[in-house]
Amino acid sequence: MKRWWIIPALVGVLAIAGLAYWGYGLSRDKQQYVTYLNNRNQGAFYNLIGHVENVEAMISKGVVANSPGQRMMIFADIWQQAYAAQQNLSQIPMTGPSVTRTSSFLTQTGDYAWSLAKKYSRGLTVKPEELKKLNELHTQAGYLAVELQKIERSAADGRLSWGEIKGAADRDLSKKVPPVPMGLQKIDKNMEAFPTLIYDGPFSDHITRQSPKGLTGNQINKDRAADIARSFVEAGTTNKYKTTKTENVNGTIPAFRIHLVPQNAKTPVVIVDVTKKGGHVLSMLNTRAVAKPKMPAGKAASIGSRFLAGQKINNMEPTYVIEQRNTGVVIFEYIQDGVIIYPDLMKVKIALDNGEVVGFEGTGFVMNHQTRKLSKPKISEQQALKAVNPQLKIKSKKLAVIPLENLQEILVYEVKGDLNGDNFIVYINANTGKEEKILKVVNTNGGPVTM
Amino acid sequence: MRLKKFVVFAVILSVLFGIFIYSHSISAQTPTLYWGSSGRDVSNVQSKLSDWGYYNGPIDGVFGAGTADAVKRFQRNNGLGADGVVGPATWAALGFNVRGPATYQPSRGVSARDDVTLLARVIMGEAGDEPYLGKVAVGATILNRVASGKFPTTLAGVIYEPNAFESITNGIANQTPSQESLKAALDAINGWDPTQGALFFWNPAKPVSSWIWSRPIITQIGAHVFAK
Repeated sequence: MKRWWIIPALVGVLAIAGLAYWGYGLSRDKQQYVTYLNNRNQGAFYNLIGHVENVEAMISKGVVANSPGQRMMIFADIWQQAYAAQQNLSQIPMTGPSVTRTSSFLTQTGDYAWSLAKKYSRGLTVKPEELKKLNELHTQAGYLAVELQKIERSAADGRLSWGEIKGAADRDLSKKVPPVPMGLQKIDKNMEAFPTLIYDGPFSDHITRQSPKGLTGNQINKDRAADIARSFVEAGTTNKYKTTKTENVNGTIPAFRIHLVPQNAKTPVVIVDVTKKGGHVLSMLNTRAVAKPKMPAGKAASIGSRFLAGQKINNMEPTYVIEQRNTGVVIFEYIQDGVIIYPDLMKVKIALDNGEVVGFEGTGFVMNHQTRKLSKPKISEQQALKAVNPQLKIKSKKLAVIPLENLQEILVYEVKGDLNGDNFIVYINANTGKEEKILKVVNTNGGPVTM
Repeated sequence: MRLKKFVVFAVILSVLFGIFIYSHSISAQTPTLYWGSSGRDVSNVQSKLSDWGYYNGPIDGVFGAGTADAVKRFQRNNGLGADGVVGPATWAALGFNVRGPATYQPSRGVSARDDVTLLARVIMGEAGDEPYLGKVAVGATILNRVASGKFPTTLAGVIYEPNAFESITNGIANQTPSQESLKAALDAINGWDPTQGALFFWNPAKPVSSWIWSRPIITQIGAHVFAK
C-alpha cells in the first residue's frame, strides 16, 4: 500500500506520451501540407518562367519566319505557351493587389498571336504594323522573363521567401524577407507603363473601352427617371408601384438605379436602371419568387412582344425562349429591312405563374444600336449554301448581321442545320462567301445555349 | 443464428450481383482485341466463348493462345475470317453492340448545370446575406473577370484563383447553394449585370487593402462596393 501513486503516475505518463504522439502526428501532417502547397506554388512559378521564356523565343521566331505555314504554327504555339503561362501565374497565391497587368499581357499576347495565326491561315501576309506590335510584345516578354529570373535567383539565394502559406508567411515577415508574390506585384506595377495592345480579338482593350452607340437623347433628372421606371414596371403587371430609393451607377453608361415596391406593400422590390442621358431603361429585375408555371413557355414570347410594343420599342423579333426556374427568358433581336441584327438584343423575362414581366435587359441594345447602312449581299443565297458542309441537313436560312470577336459587324447568311440530331448554325459571309463562324446549339436544362 | 444466416446470404447475393454487373458491362467502344490484349473486354469475350462451349480456359482477361484458338474456332463456325482477332464483325457475332467510330453520334457532353452550381456556391459564400441584386452583382463580377483577360479565362480558374474569394479560401463556399443563389447565378449568366462591368467588390466595413480603394467605384449594392 506504500506505492499507491504508482497507478495514477503510470496513467499520467501514458496520457502525456499519447498526447505527445498525437501532437507530433498533427504537426507532421501540417508540415506535409505546407510542403505540398509550397511545392505546388514553386512548380507553378518555375512553369511560369519557362512558358514566358518560350513566349519570348517564339515571338522572335514569328518575326523571322517567312512562310505562311511556319508562321501559323509558330503563332499557334505562342498562343498555347502564353495561355499556359497565364494559367500558372494565376495559381501563385497573392497576398495583396493582384497581378492583373501581367495576366492581361499574357492573355492578350496569346490572343493576338491566335488572331494572327487565323489571319495567316487565310493566306494573308504580315503587315508592317503587325510587325511593330510583335516587336513591342517581344520587348515586353523579354522584360518579364528577365524580371522573373531575378526573382528566381533571389528566392534561390534566400533573399526572397517561398512563404506563401499563411503560417510560413507570418514567420518570414518577422525575418523581413519579402515573399515571392510581392516581387511579382512589383513587376506588375512596372508592366503598367507598357502600352496596351489593340488588335482583333476578344480580350483587346478597345472592347472594354467601347462607348455606347444607342445612347440618344437629352440628360434627365432623377424624378423623370423615377417616372420612366415606374411606368415601365407597371406596363408589365397589374400592380401599381411607388419609388423607395434612387441611387447612382457610374459605369460605362451612367444611370439612375430606382428601387420600387408595390403600393401598400414592402416587397417584392423591383430595381430599374435608367440611363441619365436619354432615359433609356437599361435593365429591370423583379426580385419576387415565381411559383409553379400556369402557362407554356411559348406564351412568354407573345407577352414579351406586346410589352415591348407598348414601350414603343419596335422592330424587335423574339428569336428564342429559355425556360428556367418557372420563368421564360425571351431573347429579342432587332430587325432592319428584314435582316436580323444580332448585336442589338434585348431580353425580357416573363413569370410563367401569372404572366407578369419580371425582368428586362437592354444594355446590349443601348451599347450597339444604330441605324446601319446595309449593303446588298455580293453573293447569292444559292452560292452561300454551297459553302455549307453537305452533310448538314439545312432547316432554315436568312440574312443577318453578326458581331465578330473584335466587335466588327459583318453581313452573313445564317444557315441552321442538323447533323444526326445535333443542331448547328453556320454563318457564311454574304460578301466573300467565307465560312465565318460555326455555332453549336446545345440543349441544357437551362434551355438551349450556343457554343 | 438467423441473423448470421441472413448476413451470409446478403454477402453471397451482393457478390453474385457484382459478378453479374461485371460480366455485362462493356466499354462504350468495342476495341479490336488480339493476342496480347488484356482487360475487361477480353474477359467479356472469354466468358461468352466459354458459355457457348468454345473456350474452357480461365476467364482471366488475358488474350493468350487458348483464347485465340477459341476465337478462331468461333469465327470458323460463324462464317467469319478465322484470324483470331476480335474486330467489329466478331464483336457483333458474339452478340455485343458495336459502336463504330465511322458515323457521327449526337454529342451529349455539355451541360450548363456545373457552371450555374459553381457560380451559385460562390454567390452564396460571398453574398449569402445580401439583397437579391447584390447576389446577381457578385455573380456578374465573377463573369466579368472571366471575360476581362486580366484574370484566368475560365470560370473555375477565376473562382479558385488563390486568395481571390474569401469564401473559397475558408471553405464556406463548399456548402449547397440556396435557391436564391441559384436564381441569381442564372440571372448573371443570362446577362443581367447590375455592376456594369465591375471586376472587384469588397465590403467597406471590413479591413481591405488600401490598393483596392484606388479602383474607380461604379456603385454600392447592399454591403458591397463594386469597382472596375
